[in-house]
Amino acid sequence: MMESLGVVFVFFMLLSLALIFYGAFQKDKITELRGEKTDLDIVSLSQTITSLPELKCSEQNSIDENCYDLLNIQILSHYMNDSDGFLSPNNVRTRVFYTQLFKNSNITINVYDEKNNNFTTYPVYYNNDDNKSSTRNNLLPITIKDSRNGEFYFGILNLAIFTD
Amino acid sequence: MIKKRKAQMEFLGLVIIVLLLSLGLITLTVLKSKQGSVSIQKSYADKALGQNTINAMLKMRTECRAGIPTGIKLSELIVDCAENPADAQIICDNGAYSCEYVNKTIFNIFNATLISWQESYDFFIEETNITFNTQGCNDRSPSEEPGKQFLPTKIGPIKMSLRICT
Repeated sequence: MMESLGVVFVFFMLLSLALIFYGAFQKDKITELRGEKTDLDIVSLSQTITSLPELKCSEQNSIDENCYDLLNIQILSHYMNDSDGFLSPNNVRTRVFYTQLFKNSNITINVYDEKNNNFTTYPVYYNNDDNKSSTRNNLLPITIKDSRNGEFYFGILNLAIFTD
Repeated sequence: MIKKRKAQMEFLGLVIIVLLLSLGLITLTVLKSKQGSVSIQKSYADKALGQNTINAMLKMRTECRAGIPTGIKLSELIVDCAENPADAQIICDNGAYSCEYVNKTIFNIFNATLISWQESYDFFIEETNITFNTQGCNDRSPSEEPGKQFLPTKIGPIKMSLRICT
């Protein structure tokens, strides 16, 4: 009788151990998959914004890769934060377009000012409808061109995705 | 009596099996937790970071005017520094020689970007004394492919490289 009980005890002990480890592994895997999804989202957002024609530099219809036009940045930044522009109730279609493109994120472009050794920040887009608490950032150095005088500046494209 | 002892031996065998299994599972868990994986985003960002930083720096126009109305491009200052390390042809308005100016500008950029983002990096420009790196990051450290660029000069092409260590 005692022996049978012992065997049953050992069997259940093994079973519970296996279940505990399986649960722990599955939890790790789910966390990893969620992290991977956020990673892919931010990479996809980076690629979307780096190929956005609204911001790119161009000369005689030839697009310069990894270069952003300062005037385009200033105009888009102004439009996105203007109550008569992106935020206007009459511009629902534009808002839906950009919201689908950039989702829940915060996009800013920083232009390096060598004289004062600091950055001038241009907010491009902000949306945190779901009030998510944490962010995942991606910082990408870029070239910024002032098409008025053809001068190039060092800049940073700062992308932040809101996550749970 | 013999039967009872035999049963005890079987039980001991079971206990050993349980112990071995538990040991195996614990080892597996410890190994898995030690297995550091580089995230997709980190790998993507590091790859782009090195190359983009170099490309953006080379194109940028500096405040070194040297008597002309527009500033000189950083790449031109680097070329001058490599061609004439002891006797620079370009002297900026503030009296700084090309090598000195390049050194200061690159340091300021790294300070405002890579250092403030706590990235570990190794940067150098051949034929000049311009090298920057954070402790522990060298050509043997694990990293993504470094960002590279070659500049044509009178003494042949010079290489600049920026490695972001993982």
